[in-house]
Amino acid sequence: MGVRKNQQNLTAEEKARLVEAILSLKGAGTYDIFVRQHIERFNGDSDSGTRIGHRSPSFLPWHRKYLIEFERALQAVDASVSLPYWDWTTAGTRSTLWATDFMGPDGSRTQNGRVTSGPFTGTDWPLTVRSDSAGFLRRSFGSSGVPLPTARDVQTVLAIRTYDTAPWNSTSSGSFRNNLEGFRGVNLHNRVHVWVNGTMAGAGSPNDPVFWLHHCHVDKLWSDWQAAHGSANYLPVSGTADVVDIDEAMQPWGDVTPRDMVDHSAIYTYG
Amino acid sequence: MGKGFLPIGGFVPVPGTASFWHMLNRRRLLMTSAVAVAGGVTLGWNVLVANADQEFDEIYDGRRIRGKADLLFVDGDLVHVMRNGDGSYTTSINHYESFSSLRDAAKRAVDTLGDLRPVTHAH
Repeated sequence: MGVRKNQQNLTAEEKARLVEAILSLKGAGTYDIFVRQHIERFNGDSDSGTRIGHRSPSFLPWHRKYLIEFERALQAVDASVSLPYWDWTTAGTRSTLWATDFMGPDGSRTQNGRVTSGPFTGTDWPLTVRSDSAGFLRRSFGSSGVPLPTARDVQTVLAIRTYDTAPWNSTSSGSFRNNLEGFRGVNLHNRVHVWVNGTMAGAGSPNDPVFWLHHCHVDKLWSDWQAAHGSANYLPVSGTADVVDIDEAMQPWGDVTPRDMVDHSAIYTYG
Repeated sequence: MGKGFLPIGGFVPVPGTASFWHMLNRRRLLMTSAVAVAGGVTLGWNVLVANADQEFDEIYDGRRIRGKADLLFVDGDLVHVMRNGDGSYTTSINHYESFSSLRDAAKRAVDTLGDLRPVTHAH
């Protein structure tokens, strides 16, 4: 069982092993399968039709399963690797997260946001599955004018006791899930994608490896919320059109339900 | 009720007045909600304004943006557009944001693309 740590507490060796494992998946073509999976799910999720990975209650269990599968792929390369999480309330522009031996820096403003140094550049990191013509990673921190969420923002969202509310989509209000996902209220998750900008702003966001560290933190916040409010609080329970009820299987896996994802302690813990 | 919809039973500015245009700018009106057309008097100008913001063909920041019936093109390339439950728009370029008009979504896509082209089928 792995322990997922705050990225700023990783040793130099742990960082190097994570980067090497990611580059290995990229070189083998495995990484791009994950990117494609995300784009296909994203384009298939809509407020008025089937919605599984986004803008719906199963946003959290879907991504929990997605991260578990990615982490397993990393561990098949290097069994010592666990996903770290990026706590954006404490690690902003000046974080060592963006060092050239880890996730690499902000993009170049004179080269349309192209990331020009660090491990995820050049022939090591061609973007082949994507929603624009850029074959390279792009970032533009804060250019959208939206700041990263604060610790106070996080506390506000964690205090919402109701997991999700009808109509179970991007318009749900009073919903922990939708405030965390970010279509209503405080907005934690969406806002961070927009803050990083460039590749992270689009449907091909997993092309930026910081995607996994961001979503690891989102997953940790769900875990924190579960610990505070009781672990079986997923809604809806049954009979909800277009939405994954707690005992219905999630695509594309087909054999995993939100209830299966409620308790992650046998697979990983947060340290 | 999502943001961007007309108030019901509240003050509705008269078309052509200063307060009317102020409200237009402030709310960037949407027209698809049944609620928005519930007050018969608002129907005419509401649809008119909506068309201006949803159907357009213009140059923005050197790029030709064209919107028609929920389809969006940048320099002739199709951008994947999704209509949200509150009538707002999301595109594949800015997938984590919602825009109250198709024109706003188009401009933001151009801002994010820079000199890049949108690709609809990710390969």
